[in-house]
Amino acid sequence: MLAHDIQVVDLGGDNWDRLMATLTDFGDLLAPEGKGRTLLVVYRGLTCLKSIDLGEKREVRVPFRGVSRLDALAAETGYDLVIAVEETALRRILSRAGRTIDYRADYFAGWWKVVLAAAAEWRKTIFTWPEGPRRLPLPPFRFMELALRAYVPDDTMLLLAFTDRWRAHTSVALGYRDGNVRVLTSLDAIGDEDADLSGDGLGHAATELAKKFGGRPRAISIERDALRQILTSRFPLATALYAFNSREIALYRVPWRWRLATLLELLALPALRKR
Amino acid sequence: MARYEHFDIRDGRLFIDGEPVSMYSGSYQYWRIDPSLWRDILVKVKGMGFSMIETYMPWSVHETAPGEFDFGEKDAARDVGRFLDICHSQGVRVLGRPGPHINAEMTYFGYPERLFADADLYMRTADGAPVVLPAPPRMFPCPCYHHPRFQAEVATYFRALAKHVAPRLYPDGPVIALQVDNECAKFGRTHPFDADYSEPSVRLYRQWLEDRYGTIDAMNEACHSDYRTFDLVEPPTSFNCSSTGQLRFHLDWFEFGEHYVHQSLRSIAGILSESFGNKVPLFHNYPVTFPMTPLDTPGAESFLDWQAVDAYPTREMYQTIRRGMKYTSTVSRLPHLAEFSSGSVYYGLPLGLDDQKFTTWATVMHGVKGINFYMIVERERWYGSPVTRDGQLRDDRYDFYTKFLGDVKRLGLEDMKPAREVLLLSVRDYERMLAGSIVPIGNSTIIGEFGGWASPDLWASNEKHGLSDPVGARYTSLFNFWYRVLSSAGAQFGIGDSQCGPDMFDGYRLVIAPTFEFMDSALQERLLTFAEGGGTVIVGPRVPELDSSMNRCETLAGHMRRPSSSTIEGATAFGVEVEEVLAFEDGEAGNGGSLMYTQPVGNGKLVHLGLIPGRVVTPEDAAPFVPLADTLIRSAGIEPGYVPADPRVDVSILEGGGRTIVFVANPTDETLETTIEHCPAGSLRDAGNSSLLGTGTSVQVTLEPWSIRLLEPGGHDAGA
Repeated sequence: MLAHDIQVVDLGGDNWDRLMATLTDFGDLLAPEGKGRTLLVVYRGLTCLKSIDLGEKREVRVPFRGVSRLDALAAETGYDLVIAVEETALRRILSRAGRTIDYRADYFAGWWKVVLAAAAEWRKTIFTWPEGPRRLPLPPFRFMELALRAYVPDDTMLLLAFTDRWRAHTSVALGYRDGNVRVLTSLDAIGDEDADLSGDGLGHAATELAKKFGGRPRAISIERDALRQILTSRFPLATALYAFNSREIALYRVPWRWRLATLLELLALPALRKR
Repeated sequence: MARYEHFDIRDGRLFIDGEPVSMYSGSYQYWRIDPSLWRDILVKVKGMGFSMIETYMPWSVHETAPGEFDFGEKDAARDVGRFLDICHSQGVRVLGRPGPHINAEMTYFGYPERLFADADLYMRTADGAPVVLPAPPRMFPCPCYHHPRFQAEVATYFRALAKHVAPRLYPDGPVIALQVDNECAKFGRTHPFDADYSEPSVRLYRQWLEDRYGTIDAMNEACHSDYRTFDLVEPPTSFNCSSTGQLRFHLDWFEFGEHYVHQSLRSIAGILSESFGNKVPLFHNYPVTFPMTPLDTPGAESFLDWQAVDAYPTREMYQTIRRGMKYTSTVSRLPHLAEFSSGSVYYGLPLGLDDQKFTTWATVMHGVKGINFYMIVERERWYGSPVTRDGQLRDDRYDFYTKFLGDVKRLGLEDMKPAREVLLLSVRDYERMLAGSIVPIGNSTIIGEFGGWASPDLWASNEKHGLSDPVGARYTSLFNFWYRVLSSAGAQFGIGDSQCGPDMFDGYRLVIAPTFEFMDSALQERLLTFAEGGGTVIVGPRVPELDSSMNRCETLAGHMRRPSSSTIEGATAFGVEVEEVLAFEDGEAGNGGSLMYTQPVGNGKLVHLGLIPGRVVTPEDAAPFVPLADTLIRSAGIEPGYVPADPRVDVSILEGGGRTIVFVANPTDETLETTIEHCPAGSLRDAGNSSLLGTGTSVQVTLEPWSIRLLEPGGHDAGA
């Protein structure tokens, strides 16, 4: 998914800072309210070596009586989630993953090995209360690669811009070929960090990027206010349609599969927010 | 420091042919820039006031096939010789960083990919798995620097590179120093039971034991073990011991971690010297701001010319910078930030210009003598530098560096040193206990600092390992306690390291050394000698009755009292809950004694404080103990100066060249108004525009959020 020699250029002086801030802000809108308190216990047998309130980032003293009594521990301490990790768990995960990671393989394939190694420790050295499933069945990484290939047309140069009154507030451009992101850049690459993307501006900017880095241009721009309204709306689909009709959301050569996927996500959004 | 014909380091500065060198520089990676722009971009870098740049010389870029190299013959962007010649012609000096590890956000961190096909070269975990570094865009197995084949590969590259770089070393060229490897720290896997258990590493460990003990019988006696030969000794894989005898065996393994890193650097330094000659100084940089075991600044400076640190802080990480710079400026021969953020890596925390302005001044404020800004010229996989890769300027950033360097020169800050009379001592024995005590889920202190879980006490287990205390956890709590309390008391203090040489206490009046049941006998001797010479040493909570080999030792214990009682559950001191209080009979307090007493020794004194505090991390936590600190500081004969009334405000004083600059920092997001008390000169002026802030011993100062003001005492005109 990440090219071996991925080219990362011209992210913009402040553009990337704004992008991170924008993603964080919108991520916060989607985060479920009233996060529960989480306790991490590192143990050896029946001995608690360390217990940490993850929200407060501080040590707490708790009556640990082994992993079979996490229910009692949660009840006595009032934590919504208790995670008990045997002291060798991280070492076991890293060793298991280390044996299987290939230095030539995709970066996310490497992380998937770590996830698989962690799943293998589930209910062996990692326990939680509430308990969760008995096993963590995970698909092979190949499935995700195939899904990405099916979702993204090959040789795409995609520009995604968040705009304020149709001028780019922040942007990111991704070049994709043969199942890998090969370019990561922004409008700064064509010397127009705050480009006017109204009218033909969006298509023009995407085409300029494609000329520079290759690939077939595609682009999406979203007014930040419109996105905020969509994410907080009781009827996100309707709000999105309104934004689309008023050109607050603008598309350039966006494939139908993306539109369909977005439609499904918008339908699912109210349910996601209620988690 | 090795003797060089043209170089000398003294008073925290590098001198070339007797002239001091400005150690402010910026990173400029030639192979990532169009060669036709090299000169123009260099001129722009100079335009900000830099007279030095830094560049890597990456192995994977120059090696085109095993044993075959391109230094511009095929690709002009690889012509490092031409790049250095351009620097020379422009009068710009160069810090050269040939690796072999360079990171630079390159795939495989500058190592040729082919190296990883040789599984014998890998670092290994305790169960033999390869140690993998999860760096994008490809994870890779970390090489063990002690493998002879790895060293031979490095030598081949260095010999090829030296043909182009050695003729350009000073005085024949612009390169004034070479960096030995980069961020050599076991690739962040610093937990002693994580890595490295590879065959070359274990061989090195056994040799180190043999060098230390001489005979296997001597080792068995010290470590309560029964090995027949050193070849049969297996390193420990967990901190599982219940007696002080077994503890020695584990402490050896922790200490070996420092030797492991040093030997990695020594081997690379040796190859560098063989290839390039011994013409210019050698330095190295740790990847963290506050190096802890297995990183060892004083130890590294026993064979390198200076040991630097790196930092990529946001302004919210002010205390991390402060602590790190206090340490480096106290301990290092040349306090230098080899990498300090200028812009950001694409996958890291965004660092804005506001961060940059505040954190840059924060490092200078706490005594750093030089900064290499990484990156001053933008390149692939980086953003936000003042000069872009096509030579455009980001005006706001360009202007900041221009003004910053101008201010540093105008105020003579490079000739100044922190004015400090108090030393908080970092004790290596206890730090090693801490390293071993960190539950492996926390993995390492390095990950702690990077992940924002900066305080290792959070991860230190409460196991006692045959001692009276969980020393690792309590040591770090106690160290944090003193750090925070001294800060809130407005004390000007440095952070020392017990690994430093015999002159480490010179210039101080008060030394604070946490002590537990055991302590290195030489360190005990030094503390006692310092006190006998007229200094004040604060020790405690425990009396060190053993040396670091766990043998009886009366050096300090002979002058200290055993507690008459101990309160653990529900203990309070100074009105707040603490972990434990030890009380000593002092003939004055009638009800069980006092938690502190003073023991005169020679011309000075030992102060024994029997207090094991709880977690003290904020000014509010520290407030109840500030009167105690103030009393102790004054009783050591130190008159506090420039103390902010608001404990959120931080003051640091630099002196030198007949001048004093008082830095006043507001590391909060609100405007603060405070008085600076105990101003001995009777007035304070703004060092920027010479405007008078106030007269008298109390001066009112207004501080914008996240700002640092530079003030100058008295009527001296700083010149706007």
